[in-house]
Amino acid sequence: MNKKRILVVDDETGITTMTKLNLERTGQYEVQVENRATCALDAARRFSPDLILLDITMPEMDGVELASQFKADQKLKDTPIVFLTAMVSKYETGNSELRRGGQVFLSKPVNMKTLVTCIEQYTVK
Amino acid sequence: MRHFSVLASTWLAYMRLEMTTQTILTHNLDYLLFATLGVGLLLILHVWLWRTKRLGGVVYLTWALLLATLTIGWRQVKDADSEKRQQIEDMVRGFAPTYAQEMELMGHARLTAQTNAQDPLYLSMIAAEKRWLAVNPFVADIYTLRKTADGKNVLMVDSETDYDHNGKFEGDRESRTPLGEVYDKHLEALERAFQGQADFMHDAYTDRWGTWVSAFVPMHDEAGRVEGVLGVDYEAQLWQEAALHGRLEVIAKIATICVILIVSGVMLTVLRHDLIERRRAHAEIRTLNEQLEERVRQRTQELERVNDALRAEVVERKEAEEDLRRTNERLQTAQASLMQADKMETVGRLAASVAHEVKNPLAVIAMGIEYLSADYPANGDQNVPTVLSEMQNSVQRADTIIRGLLDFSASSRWDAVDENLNSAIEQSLQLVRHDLVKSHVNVTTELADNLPSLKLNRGKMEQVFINLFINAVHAMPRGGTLTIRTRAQSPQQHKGSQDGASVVTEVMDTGTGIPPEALSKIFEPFFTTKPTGVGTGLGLPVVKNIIELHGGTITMGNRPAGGAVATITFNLKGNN
Repeated sequence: MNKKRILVVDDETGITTMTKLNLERTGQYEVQVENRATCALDAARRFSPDLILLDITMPEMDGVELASQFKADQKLKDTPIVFLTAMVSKYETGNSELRRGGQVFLSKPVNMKTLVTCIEQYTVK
Repeated sequence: MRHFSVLASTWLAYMRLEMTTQTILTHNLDYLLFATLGVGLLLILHVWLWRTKRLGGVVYLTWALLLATLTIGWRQVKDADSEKRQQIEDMVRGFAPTYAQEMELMGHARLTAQTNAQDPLYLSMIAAEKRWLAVNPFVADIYTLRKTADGKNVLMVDSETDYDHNGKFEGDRESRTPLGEVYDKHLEALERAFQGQADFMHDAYTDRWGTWVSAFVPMHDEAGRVEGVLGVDYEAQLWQEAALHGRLEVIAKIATICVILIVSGVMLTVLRHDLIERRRAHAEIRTLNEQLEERVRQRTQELERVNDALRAEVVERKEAEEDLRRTNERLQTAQASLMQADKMETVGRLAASVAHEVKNPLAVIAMGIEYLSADYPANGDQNVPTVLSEMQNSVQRADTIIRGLLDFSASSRWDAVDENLNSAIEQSLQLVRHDLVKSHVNVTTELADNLPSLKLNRGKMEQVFINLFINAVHAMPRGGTLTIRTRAQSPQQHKGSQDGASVVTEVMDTGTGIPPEALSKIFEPFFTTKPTGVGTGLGLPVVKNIIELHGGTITMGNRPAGGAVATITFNLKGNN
């Protein structure tokens, strides 16, 4: 069985490192990280991920704009994106307003169980 | 009548001075004078009435009546005149034939111009005359005349005559006339008597004895020829005065009538005029009165109108003041809200940046702990899992606090659209379903169907309800019932408020309730009744903040049956 390819975009190296470690240890995922938002689009094109975990608050470009670039890309437009953000509370992740546009939010810190459940939910093929 | 006599005598005396009675009688001067006086009097009164502007129909009627009376009076006076004369004439003419016959019998024919003055026949006739005069004082004189052959009239028997009736025959006038004295006065009536026809001399004439009116009767001799004439004189003055008296009596009567006529006519005119004047004045007063009343009525109406306007103005002003007061209150509330929002904005920005900066390290720590927990070899230190678990709990706690801070700060920026409160409640219940089931909490909803829509931020309202529901769950650790009730409230049910309809939501639990001492501080930030690590002290302040920013109110209390109740009221007016 092919491992699912996950791209993690976050300016915090701690976050990307820990997410990669936790996810790859399950043996189900192949994880690539990208700490610079400006390089994220190229990285994604090269990597062709099954799902992108995307931070919202980043210095060079925020996650929402980056997401719109992904959506505009012919190759990436169908790739599901899950926002990982420190800006929202637990209950807001289910909030109707933030759900608009079919986007998924997960609040940092997120436990592995939640993360894996979410990834599995959006990568069903 | 006595007064009248005095008046008449005076008038007569005057008349004697100025003109003879005969003139008066001939020209009816007395009546003309009277008529002139009557007309003059009425004329004067007419002018007076005209000058005093009281002339009326009655005056003209009076004129007509006066003239009619005077015309009738004219006839009456003339009649009175002739009547009196006739009486005297009748009397004088009545005496004369008797005396003439007596003389004839005594033998008057036998006397001649040459008869001696001492002749017994002559003397007997003188005596007879004197006797007759003595018994008949109305007659002035009785005498006989004869026509001589040369046609002269001579006096035959003419006794002494006491003209002034003083019992004496004084002077030439009263003495006996000598037999055969020529009487040269030519009188028509006398001549007719000599021709055998008795006659009366109506027009007064004057001879040497006085002025008279006389009756003449022929005397015959035995052969039946007229041998002489007997004359009976009557004082002309008396005759005329008698006529005048008769006239004056009539004039007096007419004068009385005229005076009554004039006086009553004038009085009637004056009274009528006064009456008309009084009526006119009365009518004028009445008109003035009515005008006054009308004016009073108009003024009263005006006053009432002004009063009404003033009253309306007062009411308007009160309403305006009330409006102003309400507006002011709203302004103050809005200002307070603005200040609060401003404060929250500042706090929120700070909290957001802090939270963001803290959350990432927390996330790294949390993931690190997870990594270590999964990989930890079973044969290692027995305490390591406990340490890792405690670390994880602490990270969780820090995360909860930061989330609360984010919620509290994030409440100032959002849009509100027309939303149904019921669906927000249902959605919120959906989101906390897992927690409810885990804590064995039953849910009862009594949501009104006819709820009007409110301007809401759906996400914020869900946050409010989730907070309240989670609080309720925490208050019922061994399970219980969570009841959510919504209802629309009409203005009448909303006691003492003029703000109109509202939507009321009640969230009730069957838990431990709120300690009384906590009730007053329950909405203060960082105040919590929950055990350390469970509550952040930010839940209810966030809820209150969100509701107030929606223009609503929230109160917390305890139910009589146990448990707490949160009552949220959205005023439809305030909410817009």
